[in-house]
Amino acid sequence: MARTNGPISVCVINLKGGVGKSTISALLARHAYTRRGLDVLAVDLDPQANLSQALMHSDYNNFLVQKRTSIVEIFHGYRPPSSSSLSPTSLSAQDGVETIGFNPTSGKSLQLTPSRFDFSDNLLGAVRPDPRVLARFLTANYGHKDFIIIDCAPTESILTTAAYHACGLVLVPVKPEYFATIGFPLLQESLVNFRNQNRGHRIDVCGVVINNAFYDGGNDGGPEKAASITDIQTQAAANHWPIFVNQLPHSRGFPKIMRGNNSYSGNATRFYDFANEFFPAVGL
Amino acid sequence: MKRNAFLTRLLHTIVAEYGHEEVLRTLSDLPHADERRERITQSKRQAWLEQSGHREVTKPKRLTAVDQLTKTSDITVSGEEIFALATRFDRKEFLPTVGDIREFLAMSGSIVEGLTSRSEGFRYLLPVLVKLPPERLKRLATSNSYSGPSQLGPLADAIRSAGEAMRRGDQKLTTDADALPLKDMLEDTDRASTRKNHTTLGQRKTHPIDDKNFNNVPDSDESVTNAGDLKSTANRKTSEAEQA
Repeated sequence: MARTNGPISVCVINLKGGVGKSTISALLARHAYTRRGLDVLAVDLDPQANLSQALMHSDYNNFLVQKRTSIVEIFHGYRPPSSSSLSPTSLSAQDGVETIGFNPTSGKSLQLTPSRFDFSDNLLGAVRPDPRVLARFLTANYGHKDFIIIDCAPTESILTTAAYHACGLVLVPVKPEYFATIGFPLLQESLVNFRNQNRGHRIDVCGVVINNAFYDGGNDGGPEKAASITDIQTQAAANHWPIFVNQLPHSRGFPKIMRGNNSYSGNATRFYDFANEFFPAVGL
Repeated sequence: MKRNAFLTRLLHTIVAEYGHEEVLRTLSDLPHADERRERITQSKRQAWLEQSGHREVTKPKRLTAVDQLTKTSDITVSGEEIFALATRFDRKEFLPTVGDIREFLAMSGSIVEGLTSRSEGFRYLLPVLVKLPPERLKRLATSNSYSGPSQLGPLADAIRSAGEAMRRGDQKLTTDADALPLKDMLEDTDRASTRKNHTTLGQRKTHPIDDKNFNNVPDSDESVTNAGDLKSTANRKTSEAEQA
């Protein structure tokens, strides 16, 4: 049964790259569906399409070759002419969405709106891209979902604004390294600007998750990591952003389990400690 | 001493005594030698079983997915699609590893603990497949379901080719994704993938694009498909200028 007050929509964002946004998005989407029995939609807003590849794995190549619809068509607002139709057609609710998992007993599913590497080029070519397109598409077709997670690109662009319009909560992954907090002031400024321009839209940072992906070398990362953690705590407190207690450890298992390969998990199973803290924190 | 070493030594002696051809002829007159040996072994084994009171244990034949399917009577809907999946499962084309089966089951809402062998996996898959709607079964029958190392080579080639096409001033690429060279590039990628000659990221080769398939590529750049070609074109133009 769908949530009475609509889905919980979270965008995973940090304006600094390489902090684990796609990995965390894929794992949260999987966990929500397989372990919590939620009806989930994952939206890949990053033209690098790592989330799409993680959830679709080898079928992602088929998706490209068969020219199945993606986030690009959702932003265009129509289905372009193809072998089955010689003129543009309107999008249906099934367009731009791939079903990754389906539970025939409960009827719940894990679905994905995949991205393509030509996504940003397509938007740049448009005269005036509308950042509210995604929010309109999701509210019209996916109000029955329990959880919507949006993986953002690590740059401030129309895609960031589109993600803000489509969600009410922001999750900020960060790595404890020298450049860790560079993205924080940029993100805070971006959120303040968005709130100023959209007075009726409430958007909050639900938390900062520390992706402790340092190989600790026996000294837990040394003084540099300790300094970075202090920096993160100071910056987060200044912005009134809570920090999740459970950090993500370094593990070679992450690239595997994010794409559903459980041949080796290692310390990556500690992700579930974070997940068990995250879902109650966002109200699920 | 190894058994065949002993046999070799015996044969050496026999061949030295009777000659190679005579030995071969005699051997060919003994067509039932194996059967007789088998019979002796069997009778000895039977006698031992009777004496010791043990029972003959026969190892059951492992059932294939198709065997399991044909023994099941409750498949009423989408039987053909499930049969096709079972055939692909036996060929290891559908869910090729036990990890893939676990992932598929988890994605279908049933987490099976302790599944360690792929061959016993179809027993768990069948109840799930039977419940799936026909359109999802059709999609499964044509899609890959392997969670192992991703084939990023073809994808990387397609991205690189798209970038080159855009640098050459193919403006349509940026506004109409479906009607473009990208289509051909992806098909080219697929062909490369089908031929299994795609390259990995670590040993990536340049992937020349068949310019005849490009509707919107400027003619002047037809032969320029990668940095190497660009250089050779430049050299060719220089030598042509020198000759003139």
